[in-house]
Parts: sequence; structure tokens; C-alpha cells
Amino acid sequence: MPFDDEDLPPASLNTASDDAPFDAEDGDQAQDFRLFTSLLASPGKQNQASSKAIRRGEKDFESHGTRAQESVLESSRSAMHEVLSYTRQHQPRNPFRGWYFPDRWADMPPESESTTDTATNKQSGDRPTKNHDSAQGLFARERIVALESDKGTMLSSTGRVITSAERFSPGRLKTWLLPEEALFLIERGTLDLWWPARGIEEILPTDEGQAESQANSEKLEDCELGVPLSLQAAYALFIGRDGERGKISLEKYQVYSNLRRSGYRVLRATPLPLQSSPTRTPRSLWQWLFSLLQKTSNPRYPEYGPLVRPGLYRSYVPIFEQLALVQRHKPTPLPPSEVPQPGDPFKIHFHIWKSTSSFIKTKPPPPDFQMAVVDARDSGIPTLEQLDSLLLSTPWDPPTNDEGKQGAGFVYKRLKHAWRNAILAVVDRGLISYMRFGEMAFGEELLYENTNTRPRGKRGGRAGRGRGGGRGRGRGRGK
Amino acid sequence: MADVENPAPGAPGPEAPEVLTTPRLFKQDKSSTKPQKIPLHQIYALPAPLRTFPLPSFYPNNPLSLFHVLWAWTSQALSPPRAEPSVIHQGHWSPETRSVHIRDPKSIRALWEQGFFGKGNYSRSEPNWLKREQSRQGQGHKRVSELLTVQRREERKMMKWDRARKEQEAILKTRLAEAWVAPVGPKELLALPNSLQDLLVLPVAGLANGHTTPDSLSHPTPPRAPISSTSPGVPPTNISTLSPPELAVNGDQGGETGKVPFPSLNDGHPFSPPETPAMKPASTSRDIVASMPKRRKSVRFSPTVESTTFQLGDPPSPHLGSSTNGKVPNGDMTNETRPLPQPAGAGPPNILDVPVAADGAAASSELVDREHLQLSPEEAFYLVFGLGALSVIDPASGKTMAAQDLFHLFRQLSYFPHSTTPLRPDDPFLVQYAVYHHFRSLGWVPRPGIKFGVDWLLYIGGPVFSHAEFAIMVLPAYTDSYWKSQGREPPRKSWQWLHSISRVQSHALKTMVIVYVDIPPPTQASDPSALLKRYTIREFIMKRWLSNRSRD
Repeated sequence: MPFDDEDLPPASLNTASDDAPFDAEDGDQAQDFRLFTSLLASPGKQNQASSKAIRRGEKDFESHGTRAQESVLESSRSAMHEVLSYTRQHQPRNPFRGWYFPDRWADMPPESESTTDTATNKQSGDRPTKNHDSAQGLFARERIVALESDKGTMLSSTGRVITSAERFSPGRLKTWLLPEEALFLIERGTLDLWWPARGIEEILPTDEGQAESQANSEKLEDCELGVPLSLQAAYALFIGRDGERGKISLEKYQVYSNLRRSGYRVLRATPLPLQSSPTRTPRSLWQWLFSLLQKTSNPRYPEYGPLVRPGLYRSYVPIFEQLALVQRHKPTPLPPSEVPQPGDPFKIHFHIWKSTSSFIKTKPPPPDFQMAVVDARDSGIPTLEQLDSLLLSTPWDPPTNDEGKQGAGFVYKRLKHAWRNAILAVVDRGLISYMRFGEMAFGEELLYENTNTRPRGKRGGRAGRGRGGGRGRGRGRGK
Repeated sequence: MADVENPAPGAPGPEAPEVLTTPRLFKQDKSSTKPQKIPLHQIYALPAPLRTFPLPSFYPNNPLSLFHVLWAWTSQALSPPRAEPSVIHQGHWSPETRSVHIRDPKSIRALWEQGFFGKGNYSRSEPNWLKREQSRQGQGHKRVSELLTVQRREERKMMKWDRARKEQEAILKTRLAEAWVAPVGPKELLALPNSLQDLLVLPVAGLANGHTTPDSLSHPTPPRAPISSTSPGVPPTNISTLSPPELAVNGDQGGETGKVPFPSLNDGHPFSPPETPAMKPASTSRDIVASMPKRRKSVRFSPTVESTTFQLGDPPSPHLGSSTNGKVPNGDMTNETRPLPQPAGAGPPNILDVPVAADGAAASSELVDREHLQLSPEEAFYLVFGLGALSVIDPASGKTMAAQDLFHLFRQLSYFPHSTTPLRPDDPFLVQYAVYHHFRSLGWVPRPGIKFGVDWLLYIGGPVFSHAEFAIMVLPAYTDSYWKSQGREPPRKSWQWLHSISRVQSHALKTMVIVYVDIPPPTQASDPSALLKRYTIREFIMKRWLSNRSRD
């Protein structure tokens, strides 16, 4: 395809929409197995499908009977074969053993769900105690798998050590996993799940009782302690309906494992401090007087007549001000105290961090994304109340203030940034579609006030975005 | 709106007559018609059909400008200009089409240029049927967006076709290179020609075992009809024919002789559009067919484009594809704006160089503008109720319709099936008009978005300046306690519905916005001001989130 003009758009003139071309593409591309082989290739072994052979952007839609094509195809095939025939082994050096104790923490208090609780806490200014802070996001009641050891990089964002129990209770100071974490580790081959045949005191002796139990555990063989469980058993134990203690719904687990496999850090959502202290700048007397003046001069709308009164106008601003009739939405940083708690499908379930940000699991930074998980078949698109309460439970994040920049690109950028954002993972029987919903406010951008937003001189607003070319070829997807 | 819109994202926004996108056009324009080029922002300076009279600005460092200000002020005070809106345009309510027609050409231009209201009934959006007709008949070089679109599509088609041709040539080249085997056996060596003379005499250059000799490769045989394809014993000669003309000839011949392994799509007709199974040059020769896998689809081409009009018996060319694609070639003249059939051999069509047709001068004298502007109910009501720049005449009585009559009529008509039940606060017209008025009053230019599967498209400034950035889908919301007590629920929409719309928008590089209109409980008030004040508009952006693109 020598004339394929679907090249990357040049550094785009339109700053607002520079991410748009990516959006048009599909997120899930077919894997190029030759990339994998280059990863797997050991130095000693001669690897015939080298990564040098990779040329992206060309795609044959049909075989044209040349040997060149066949050899390319064959090399790709053999690369795939090589990758797939790679033997996965469980590394024997770090045996991760987890024990299934579903009822160990059943009597712990459930995680506080109310957002306003913490919001008011923060707002009143008294810093929550350290203890409270670390209990945030612990979900001790839901933790059902105890790990014998807590080494390994996998645990940097997985599992929590339960410290809040009384001193000498068994299982304290051990890493405990949530069902989705345990299931993900099992699927990944990092964790062996065992069913305990003995009590928790014998299997996980506490530090203090270690001396006396040392002798006991020595003589207890593995087979006497319990039995290993299969992956199917783990699924049966951990997947349940929403709201069941110690279980997770299949949709949420699918979203969780998809995000983890893509490299994100995912934790169950905890109520966030919604915003910093309300920044209500005190208005000066002049501004107050001025607003009074504007209030009184607010025109009474003629019932049927033209909203714009006939007369002489010096600019378009008074004309458009008279047209403002339908109520506009003004996003406010503080939600009213009577905000309804988001109802179940449309509430934040997961907090997500990018892989690059530094991360401490006990004190995670503010999440990069907030996600709700909905079932595509059980729910329709949200109503206004559902969407509004979902977004009100996410942090206030207004567009960056680039005051004075009135070009169309800046207007688009501010509007698209939105004032609050949440991601909805729509799961349709295992297929996940992520959608970002953001609270917009077109009323914040009064286009009529500045004349610069109107593109001037430059015609064809999206020139230079690689739009003109032959994308009509359709990339052969449907063929 | 009968025109068939190409949904391919490569096509420009249908509402956006992008003038001057290709540099070539630019040059041409400069050389031929340089004097009358008015910048777009001067033509479309006014955002509404109302004029303003700003005072000249006063520069403190230039005392003379004060006099300028004073003079402007006093002149406006002494002889005030007419109160705006100074011109009230006349519209005619058309009950059949449920739109308001503007027939006065001045009003048509004014409403289009000052706020982009309505669409020409023969045009895609800008009412330019007359200009199009004139340029079609060769009167002057008028640049009309529809024609430019046609031309751009032609160019793109040519480009793609050229690309396909080059691909095929490359494939053929590799195939020939692979087919070549050095002659080593005694028989092959003996069969080699002894001199150049021999080579010319030799009727068949190939060898029995399916290989071609180097000589046959280096000296392509002159083009000829491949009679050889019908006789199985003859070695493949056309593998050595590199010249593209014969490729096309081969294909056609193969089709006619019925030797094509795949039946063409149009039954019984030997010629198929370029997309249909072809690649006959290779498939006609048996030996290569045996060595090659069967293929479903291929591209057939001819190196030159002879004409822009087609008889059914003509050889295929890239233009054939679209015109036979379910459309009568010259069927819909009004909207499709296909150039008139030109004399054969005119070369690739270039709308700007259309030669003056012989009968053009005769026809030009009687060319009358038959186009009118049609306003949707929302647009018409905004002009009447919001700006007061339009009065609508009832065709039955011939009198001007009052705003309340118009309001009632539009609300009544928005019910389907038509009913005479009392009007509800959530009738479709009111909901859509609230959204239309909301965005208009903020300075946006909303235009109907049916071609993109949404309710409205939002332009910043207008469709001539830039593509629409936002696509608006309107949904009602019933959050009031009255509706809760009534058990009123908004229509339940599935996720599939939302995804299908969002997929279209992302493909057309638009940002999808869901607009909820919060419906107030019913009241006694029936005047639009009091009613519309109670509606609240909430906008939500909706965009696909790609997990592998947002990771870092």
C-alpha cells in the first residue's frame, strides 16, 4: 500500500482535538506475534523471525500467490507458533501459598460507604487520625485469603496487611487478599490457593506463639494442613452476586483483571475527599453592587414577542443576553449536602492508577481514573439523576484555567475536559467497553462575548489532520 | 435531503463546504479570478440577522479619534438607524413539508449568511442551486461546494485506483521474478533462441514445464488478444506481458469467453464493477491458476481513463464503481450535482475546466433561480420568537401567523401519530427547541444532525469556517417530584444504541454530547417565555476510553 495516507497526523494545529484520531481507531489491535518472539528469543538460539522484519502499516487482504507473500506469512505464523508453544512454568523459587479463610474477618465493621462523611471530615479541617486513614480502603471484612509470605513485586498494589485486630489473634500481620486479587493471582499462576483442614491458629501461627507451635508445624505435613484448590474451585468460591461478602460479581472481576493485565493499578473504590476546602472568593463591594445592578436590569421576557427588543445595539452581547432563557447548568465545586448517594450500578467501584505513578498501597495517591461497572444487558443508559449523582461523587476537576485564550481550539479543549469525569465499564458477557462520561457546561463558554472564537482566514477547520485522504479503504476490517 | 452522503471520514463534513482545500485549486483561483475574492469572515460577519452599530474605538494617544467617536455618536443620535431587526423576512408555512419556505432571494442570502439558518431545498446546505446550474452550463467559473466535493471525490477515487494499480504491478513483478528459473536442463537450453531474429519469429516463448525463459521476460510480446487462454496446451504467454493495456484486455476477453472461474455479479453481463471478482489477466491462463490459490476479490484496472461517460459495453474504469453502485448514473441531477455527460475523450473530469457547452449560451438566458430556503420548525420559531426577524405567512389565510399560533402549531405537529390531546411539557418540539435555543443563545450554530445519527451538530461560527465539533443527542429527563409521583420514566435506551451512535461520531471525528432536558411539571402557562424558562439543559460528554492508550 504505497499510497496509504493514513499516516500520523502532523503536530496538529488544533490543540483541542489532538487525541481524536486515536479515538477513531480501534483500541484492540491484533497482536503482532513477531514482537513477542523477539522478547522470547534467547541469545543462543537463532531466531528466524526477528523483529527487524516488522514493517507496520501494510496489510494484505488477499493472497496473490507470490512466494514473497507466503514467506512473510510463514514467518509470522512460525513466530506465533513459537510464542504459543512457549512453556509457561510456575517459578519454583517463590511459592506463594494462600489459605482460604472466608470467615476470619466476618465480624469486622464494613467499610464506611458515605462520601459526605469524609468530605465533612476534611472540610472541618481536622486531619483524620492515622489509624483512620490507613483503615481507609482496607475492606477487612471482604478479605478472605491469607498469604503465608508477603514477598514479591506483585504485592505492591495487591493485598493489605491487617493490623487493626487485637494483638495476638491469628492472621494478624499477614497479607490478606480480596477475592478479585486472589483470583487474579491464581489465574496468573502466582498463587496457590489451599483449603485449610485445620484451624487458622495452626496454619498461620502468630509471631508470639511461634516458639511453641514451631514444634507442631514441623511435624504437620502439607497434606495434613489442607488441600490445594483448582482454578475452577477458586472461581466457584470467589465469584458471586453483588453485595455478597467475600465475593465479587463476574463483571467486576472481568473488568478488574482486564485492567490489571493492561498494567493499571486497581483498588476498590473508597470514598474520596471530594474537593479541597470550598474556594469561595469573597466578593468585593463593587462586584456585589454590580451584580445587584445586573439582577435588576434582568429583562422580563415578553410572553410571545421577540426576546430581542427592537432597538439600536452597539454590540451583540446585549442581544444574546436577552436570548438567555433556558436554564443553563453551572458546575459548582461543592455538591449540595443532599446529594443522593449513587445507586448501585452507577457508582464508582474501582479506583485506577496509571502504571507510571508512584504508588503506596496503604496510602494511594488520588486516583487517575474512577470507574463504575455496569452490565450491558441488565441496565440501560443512565438517567439524568443516575449520571449526575455518579459524577457528583467524583472529584471536582475543572478544566485548566487558560484564561484569555479564546480560540476555538481552546474552547473545545476546555469543554471536552469537562468538570467531573467518570469511566463506565460496560460489560456485555465478558466484552468490556469503556466509556468516559464527563459533566460539561456549555453555559460557561459564552461564545458571543469574544469574536475570536470564530475561525478566521484559515478555512476548512481541520486541515492538516490527515483527514482528506483515503481512509475510505476501510482497513479491510469488514472484508 | 435526498443526497446520498458518503459516510467515509475522508469525505468532508457534509455541512461544511470547505472552499479551497487543495493547493492546486488555490493557484488556479489566483490566476483566473483574483479580483472578487471576499474573505469568508467578511461575508459571514454577522452571527444573527441583526446589525449592530458599534462606536469607533477611542485611542487616548490619538485625540482625533475622540472626534471620530463623537461624530459617530451624534450622527447616530440625530438620524438614528432603523431599529433592529430592520428587515423582517417573509416566510411561508408549508404544511406539506412541515417547514417554512423563504422565497425572496435577498432573504435567502441574508438568513444563510447571518447565522446559517435553513437549507436550500435543492442544495446540501447552502442554497446555491443557481450557481451550480450556471457553472454546469459553463457560465463563469463559480466555485460551489457541492461541485468541489464531487471533484475531490473524483480525485480521491483516481488516487485510490492508481494506488491499486501500482500494487498490482508490484505484485506482478514479484510473481514474474519468482517464476523465472535459470535454464539448466538440456531441453531448455536447446529451446533457447539463437539470435534476436529467432526471438521475433518464435511464436511462443514459454516452456512446457510452466516456466518462462528469461528472453520472454526481457522482451515482452506485443499486446494481443489472448486466444491462448482457451487452448489448454499453450504455455502461459500472458505471464510475460507486462504492459498494462493487455491486462485489461485480457480480463475482458476472459469474461466474454466465459472462462472466468468466478461468475460476475451482474448476471449475464460480462462486465462487473471494479470491486467485483476479477483479476482475470492471471486467472485466464490455466497453468498459473493451478499454482495460485483461488481468490475471491481483486481489482481490475485499465491504465487510462478514456471518458467520463459510460456505455454498458465500455471497459471498466474507476468511475464505473460509484455510478453503478445502486444509482442511476445521471438520475438525480438536482442533488447529486454530477457534471453533465461530456464528449468522450475529454480526459479526467475537471469541473473547473469544463468547456463551455455548445448550447450553454442559449440556455443561460432563461435560467431562473428555482430554489427556496427551507427552515425547520425550530429555526423558524427561533427567528420569530427569539430574534423577531421573521414573520411566517399562513398559506390558507394569507395572513401573518402570530407567535403563539406558530408555537401551538409546531408543538401539535411534533406528535406522531398526530393527536389532538392536550399538549404535554415534554412534546418533541418543545424539548428540541429548548436545546436549539440554549445553544443558539450561547453563540453556537446548531444544525440538524440527521446525517450523523444525532439530533444536532454544533458549529462554532458556522459550517463554512470549520467542521462541527460536537454532535448532540437529546434525551428527556424527568427528575421533578411530579413526574416521580406519576411514575414517569424516560425511554430506556440500550447500551448498544449508545455505542452505535458513539461509533459513528468517533469515526466522523466528532465529539458526542448527550444533552438531557429536564422536563418541568405541567403548568397553566402556555406562553413560550414562561415555559422555556423552566427547562434545564444538562450536557455530558461521552467518549470511548481506550485502556491501552491512557496507561501512561
